[in-house]
Amino acid sequence: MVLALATEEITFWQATLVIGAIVIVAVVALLGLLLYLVGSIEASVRRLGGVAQGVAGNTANIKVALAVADSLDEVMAEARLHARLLGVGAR
Amino acid sequence: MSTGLLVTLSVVEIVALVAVLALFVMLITHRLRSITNTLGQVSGGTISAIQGDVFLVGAGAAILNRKLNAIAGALPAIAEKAESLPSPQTPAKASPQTPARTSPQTRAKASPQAPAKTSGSGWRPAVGSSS
Repeated sequence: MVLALATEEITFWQATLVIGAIVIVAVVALLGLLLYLVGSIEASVRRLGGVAQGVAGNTANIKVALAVADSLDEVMAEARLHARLLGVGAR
Repeated sequence: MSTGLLVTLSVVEIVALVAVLALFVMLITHRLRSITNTLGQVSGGTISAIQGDVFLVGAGAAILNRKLNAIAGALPAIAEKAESLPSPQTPAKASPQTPARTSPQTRAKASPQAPAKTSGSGWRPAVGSSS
């Protein structure tokens, strides 16, 4: 079967093909931009993970620092002993 | 331009559009999955560990403040009483056999490089000497 198209129809078809090509190029550009932005987010998230691990390493020492509370009991007991020996009203 | 060529170009264009869309969707999906995994690790492991550690600060700071305030309240009276005590005026007996029994003043005279104060606000224990 042979399609017999008029010249105007062929021109419209050609224009449609050109517009379609332009649309494909625009889609590629926009999706490329979206891919770039998602990649930027991915890199930031990886950096965030590294920073969070560093913070976790630092905060892990809080338990060690809070162990000084036990030593404060000894300091307070020593202060009470000094107060008793010196005749100061111990609290 | 023949009709067959137009049909072929139309099919190629449609296939190209679908292929481009599929390719970019796959790439973006891959990156979003990577982001999801990284955020899951950060929020699940690291942030939970930080939260557990920082929770101790809230509970421990109150205890530390209470104990330090009690010590700070007791020390001034002890320091005033200690400074009001008369300093020992024992005669200096320079005995080389018993250097540990000499008075702090004698030790201060014997070692002028490290003068030891026995009282006052600037008192510091002599380095290397046992009490």
